[in-house]
Amino acid sequence: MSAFKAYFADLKRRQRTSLIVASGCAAGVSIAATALLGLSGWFLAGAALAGAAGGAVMMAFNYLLPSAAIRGLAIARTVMRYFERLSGHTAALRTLAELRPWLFERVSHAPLRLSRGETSARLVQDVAQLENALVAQSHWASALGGLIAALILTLLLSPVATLIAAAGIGALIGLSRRIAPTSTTGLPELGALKNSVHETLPFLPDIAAYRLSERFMARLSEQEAALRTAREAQARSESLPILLNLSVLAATLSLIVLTHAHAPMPVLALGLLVTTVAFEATGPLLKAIAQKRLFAEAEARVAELGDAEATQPAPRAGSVLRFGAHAYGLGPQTRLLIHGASGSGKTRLIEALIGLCPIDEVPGLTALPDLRFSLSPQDAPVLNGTIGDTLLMALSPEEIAAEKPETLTARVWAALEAAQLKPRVAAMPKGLHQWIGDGGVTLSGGERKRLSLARALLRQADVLVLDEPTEGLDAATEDAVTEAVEAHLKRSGQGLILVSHRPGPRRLCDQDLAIDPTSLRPRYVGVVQG
Amino acid sequence: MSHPRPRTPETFKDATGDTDKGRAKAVRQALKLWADAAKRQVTHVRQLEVWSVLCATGFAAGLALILQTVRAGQFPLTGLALLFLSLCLRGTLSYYNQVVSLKAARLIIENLRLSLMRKALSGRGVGASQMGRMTALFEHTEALEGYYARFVPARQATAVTPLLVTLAIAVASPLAAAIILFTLCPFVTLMALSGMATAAESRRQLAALTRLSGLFADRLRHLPLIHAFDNEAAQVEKVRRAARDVSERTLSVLRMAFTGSAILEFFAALSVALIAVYCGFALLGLLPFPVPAFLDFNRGLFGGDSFAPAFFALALAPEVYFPLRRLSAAYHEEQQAHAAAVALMALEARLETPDSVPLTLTTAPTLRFEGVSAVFADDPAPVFAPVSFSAGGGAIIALRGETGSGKSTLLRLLLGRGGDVEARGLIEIDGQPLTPAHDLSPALSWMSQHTPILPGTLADNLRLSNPQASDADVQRVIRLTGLKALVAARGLETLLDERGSGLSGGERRRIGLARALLKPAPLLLLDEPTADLDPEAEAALIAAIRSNATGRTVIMATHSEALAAIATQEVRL
Repeated sequence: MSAFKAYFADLKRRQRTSLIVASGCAAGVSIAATALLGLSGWFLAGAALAGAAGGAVMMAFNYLLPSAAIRGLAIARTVMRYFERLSGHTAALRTLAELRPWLFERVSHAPLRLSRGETSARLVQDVAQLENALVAQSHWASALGGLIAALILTLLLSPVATLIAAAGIGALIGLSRRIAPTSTTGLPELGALKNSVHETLPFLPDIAAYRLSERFMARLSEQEAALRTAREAQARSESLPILLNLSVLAATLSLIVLTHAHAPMPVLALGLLVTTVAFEATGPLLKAIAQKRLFAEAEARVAELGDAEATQPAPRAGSVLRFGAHAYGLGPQTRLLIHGASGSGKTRLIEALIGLCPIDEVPGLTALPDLRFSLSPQDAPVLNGTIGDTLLMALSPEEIAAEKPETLTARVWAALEAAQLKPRVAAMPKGLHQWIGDGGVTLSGGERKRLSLARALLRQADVLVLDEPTEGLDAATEDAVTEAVEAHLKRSGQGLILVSHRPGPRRLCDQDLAIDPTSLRPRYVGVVQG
Repeated sequence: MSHPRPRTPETFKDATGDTDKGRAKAVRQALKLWADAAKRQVTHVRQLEVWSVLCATGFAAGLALILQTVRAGQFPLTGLALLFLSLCLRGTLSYYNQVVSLKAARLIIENLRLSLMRKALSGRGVGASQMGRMTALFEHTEALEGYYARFVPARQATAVTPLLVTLAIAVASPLAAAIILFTLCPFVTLMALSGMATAAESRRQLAALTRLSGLFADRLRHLPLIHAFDNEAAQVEKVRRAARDVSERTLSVLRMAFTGSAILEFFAALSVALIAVYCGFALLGLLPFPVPAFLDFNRGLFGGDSFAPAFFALALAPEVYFPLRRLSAAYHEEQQAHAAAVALMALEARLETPDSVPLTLTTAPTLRFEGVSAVFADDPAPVFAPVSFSAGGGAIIALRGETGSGKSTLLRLLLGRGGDVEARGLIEIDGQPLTPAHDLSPALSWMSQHTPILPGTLADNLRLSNPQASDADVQRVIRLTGLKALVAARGLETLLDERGSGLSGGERRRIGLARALLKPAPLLLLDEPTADLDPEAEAALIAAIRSNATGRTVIMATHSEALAAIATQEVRL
């Protein structure tokens, strides 16, 4: 069994009680609804006969019990429906609330083979589809409840009527399962369309320069039309159950009337009405059957995320980095400058060194040291969150728990001070709790750089790795940052690996690693094909 | 300063007051406007709903007739035929209703999305930040499907069906109809009240869901960073909290929605029960109050006594509530559609491109950049530090800088209107200041490392830039760009697919260059034209660019030293 299936089954097991309650209530709702209408019809017909007969017959007609039962059933149906939905959805939602972080954890440890948008869509929309599938589980109980109630109540009419009703509902469910679902749910078509749009985006300048938009639109229109055709086919197969339901109901009721033309009228009324309600109760089940493919596809897509194989990190040993013909011993005294022409792969080398990309993507790199690194990346990414969130990424949850809050706060401010960002953060209305990124304060490129540096300085590591740490800073700030980094290295005993084209920070280094663009050019890679 | 333990601040505020109302109105108008694409289908669905009521009436009448006839000891042929036909017809109508409703929804979505894509393609280009928004384009447009396919038809049915059914019941038993109206009134009031409460809670739930989506997108984008700091556990914890928040909020919305449905169910059941009890007691002659003649059963309707009209009323009563049930089941779709519409309206406004004045040039233009920078609409920070330079006609300018320093963005500033990049500073072409209203595209050719290939012949692909180009011109650019070998091997009429299968990276780039040269444009923009090429292919392409630069002013963004070497001047970002 796949990791996803095992985990999902376990989650469902934990919500078993709620799911059973939902199913029980669903069955109860159908039974009450069937009995309510059947009883009402019988009561009415009986009353008509008794009223017409008058006298003693009328006096003997017990109207109190049926009318009380009618009111009781109406209330029971309402209450059970409420609990059916509530416990079904509670179980489904609680399951999903656990499934999403689990999937995210799996995804975060595996190489991302899908685009971020696709992964995110699966985590949000496809998982929501699983919710619908879980809620749909109680539809069987609902259909079953209606069937059982109808079978018992039609016995009052005759066993033949029971047989006809059972055969009708059985035929209906059988036929619905037999109807082949359409070959497509429209999702592959939607995916193709999304892809086309994404492939078109890089061409926008060409499209603008040569006025090609209509040529591209023609293709997109075609794909839109294909998507519509597929969705319409899916709609036809999802709508078929209702046609089937009412047609089989028509046949079943006709058969009952034909075989019971001389039966007592009140029980015939009861028989016809309960059969009608029982057919109605199968509606959600038939729809769920028609959507089975939709649910299965969603589950398969989610399973793909959950079953992603975690990457095996490249082997590491000792403290030596081997690149080309050279070996670089890394330690507290290391002050290594990586240089090379722009586009020669400096950032790639750093990523491989830290373990963010496979070692074989960097030609010339043959051995990685087993050391702990702290990185300030060139693009200085900052999470959507507070300044505190971004900085505390550098510490493990254990480190955070072990430190006293005051000490932790002091460390954070010290790092900000070293990165020359303390005055800016102190001036923010919410200080370390200031939200940055989407929906918050926007930091300039230089500020992001310094925040990223502060984060790198916070982490306990053997070697500090700085990729263009002072790009976008003015000369005075650059000097201050350089001095602070120097002091930090002395104090912490960390080594330094630096990529920079600016002379300021370069003076920290006493050793260099040159990437020769001609000899180490990545293997020739053509345009991505098929 | 307090301790900076991570926490999630409430940055999403519930918009309140007049602006909220105004926005809700604008959203409703937009949703209505978009629906115009499927006007015919929407009308069709409305008619189907009315026919469906007739079928329900036929079914109830058929049942009543059957029972009346059986009671009289005869064979119920008419009733049976009526019941059978009504049910089969209703099945067919419901089937078509669902199919046509979905078709309407798909037409609306298709139309809206194509119009947005057309706008996106007519602009100067979409930056990396907007790529994400194009993904949202699909999510949001698809979110409209449930609204147009289920909510709108249910709303139409709600407006017509309950009254029609009550009217039909009134024909058989006016008092039963009065009972229905009596149960309907408090029900509608309660639903409206609970609807308002649910709407507020729904907005909070959607905000939580948006937050979760945003969190996923953000953390997936920053996975390398999270790995670099071994921070996976903390982030999973954050996702767990956000996911639980969504679940709990959804539950509280659902609790309200279910309470609303429970009210609905209760009144539906109550009306059936009341009608059953009233009819039963009336038939027994035990009613504790006298019923005036005009409210009593219409005995003539089925040609018998009071029983058939009473039974007809009972069988038809549940139909009153049927569309209301559909509406409440589709309520969530409406909330989703509103949220999606807000996002789509914002996207639509962003993609709006102003009308522009085409700018034609006949000779290689002089250029002057004075403190030029670029800003993206959603980020006030300039993409690169202000750039100043001037160049004579026929200059070859190499644009240098690290990856991400904004070289492509600078080139895009010359492409013309639209998009979400905006120029700061002064750009002069032949001494004339370039304004956002100018469209420079007639005067320029563009070549990038991504050469688009459209399905069609090689000749067709070359002529994309200039469909009127003569055969002689095509032969000339083929010679100039070294495409001769390819043409000799495969012919000008060889068919290419959009992936450019069978072309090497170098060949594809040559096609791009040949295409750019085929257009007699005096301004040539090259964006990383030699990236990822092996040294021989690069050298050949550089030679071709150098020999074809005459008579044009060229700006090329590049990392390549070899390509930069042919430039007459260099600009650093």
